[in-house]
Amino acid sequence: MTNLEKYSSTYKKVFELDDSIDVTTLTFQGIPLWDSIGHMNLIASLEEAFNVQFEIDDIIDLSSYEKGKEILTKLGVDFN
Amino acid sequence: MIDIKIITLLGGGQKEFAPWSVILNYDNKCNLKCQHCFTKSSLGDYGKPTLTIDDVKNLADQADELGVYEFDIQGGEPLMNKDLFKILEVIDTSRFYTYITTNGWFLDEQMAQKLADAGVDKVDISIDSFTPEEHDKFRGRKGVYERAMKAAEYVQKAGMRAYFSITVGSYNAQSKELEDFTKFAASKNIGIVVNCASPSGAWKGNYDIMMNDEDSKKIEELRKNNPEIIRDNWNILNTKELVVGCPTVNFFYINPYGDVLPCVYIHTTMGNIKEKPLKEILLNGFNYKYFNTLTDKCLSGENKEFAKKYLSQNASVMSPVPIEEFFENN
Repeated sequence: MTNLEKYSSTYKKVFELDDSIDVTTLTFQGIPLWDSIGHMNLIASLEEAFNVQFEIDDIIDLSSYEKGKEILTKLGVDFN
Repeated sequence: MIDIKIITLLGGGQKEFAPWSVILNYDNKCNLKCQHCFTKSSLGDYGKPTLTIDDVKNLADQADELGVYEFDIQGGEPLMNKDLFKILEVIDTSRFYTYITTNGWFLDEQMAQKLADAGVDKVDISIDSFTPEEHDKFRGRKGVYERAMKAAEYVQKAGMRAYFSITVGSYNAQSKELEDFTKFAASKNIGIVVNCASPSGAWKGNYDIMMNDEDSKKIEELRKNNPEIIRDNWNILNTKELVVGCPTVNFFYINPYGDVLPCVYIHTTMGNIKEKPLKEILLNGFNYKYFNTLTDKCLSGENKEFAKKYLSQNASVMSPVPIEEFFENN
């Protein structure tokens, strides 16, 4: 599984989404389960999946699927 | 010597002096950087929490057995606690008057309804200044005041009781802004919890912020504007006025490691719930001289002698000093 696949599957698992949903368009509070509690579950799952530690500013800045990729890239995750 | 009152009370005798409320800080993470944060989450003091959901259930079961009837979930920011709803489930909110203390940033209409559905009775929303710009500056993020006000509306709409949790010190106790705000809150049917500004946490060593006698008197006067202004050390036996109880008498506070503190501002641990039964911890801790007896002055926010002597120690919510050392050191 590539890092991109792992990243997408984390969203699907945390937010209980089926394959018909385009996860690349997801944004914070854009779906019912992505509220602040869901957000912290996402953060914990991403930290575990990629063995990284988010700073508090990163946690707050992670406002969309795309932004999350940017932050993980900054933390050394290679999506290419 | 163990105070006989405590034994009686914890055994189910007279209730007026027994701890009636538990405050849980399960996770100290927060999205804001408030100047006065007593947990120092504003300074990034998050640690690595070790409490588990099983620990919380065990705590709630023991607290319930001891007659505790309020459960306050704080942080950090509790709406950034990924396990918040698991906690609400395991404590069994039907056993407690349950509330959370939040900055309101994440409290939208849906979240308010989820909290109400999970059995939350009351939400305390922190407000530190009564002009949006000042509040936002104090809390380190734009838009916090506006979101807090909206949050209070959502809380009421979802059927929960809304309170503003206000830190009051020498710098604002006698201000017209505070007086006007108490009237504003009353007009919205929102209560006010007064927290004494204390030289603790991020404000350690800042004794100038503590209220003097005139400031304290002013807070009592403000009750005329809003009958639901409550603070900690007003006489709990005065049935004409609402009281919230004093942490060092009626509450205990659990940090993310399971340490039991007598007050959110007095950073000493009476024991750890992972190691000892809660009853044993409280019997020992509340037997200390300053605890278990209601005093006219809040120890951390009004009693300068106590504050200078004890709150100057190298301690924090996340690293509290064992109670034996806390008092032996002085």
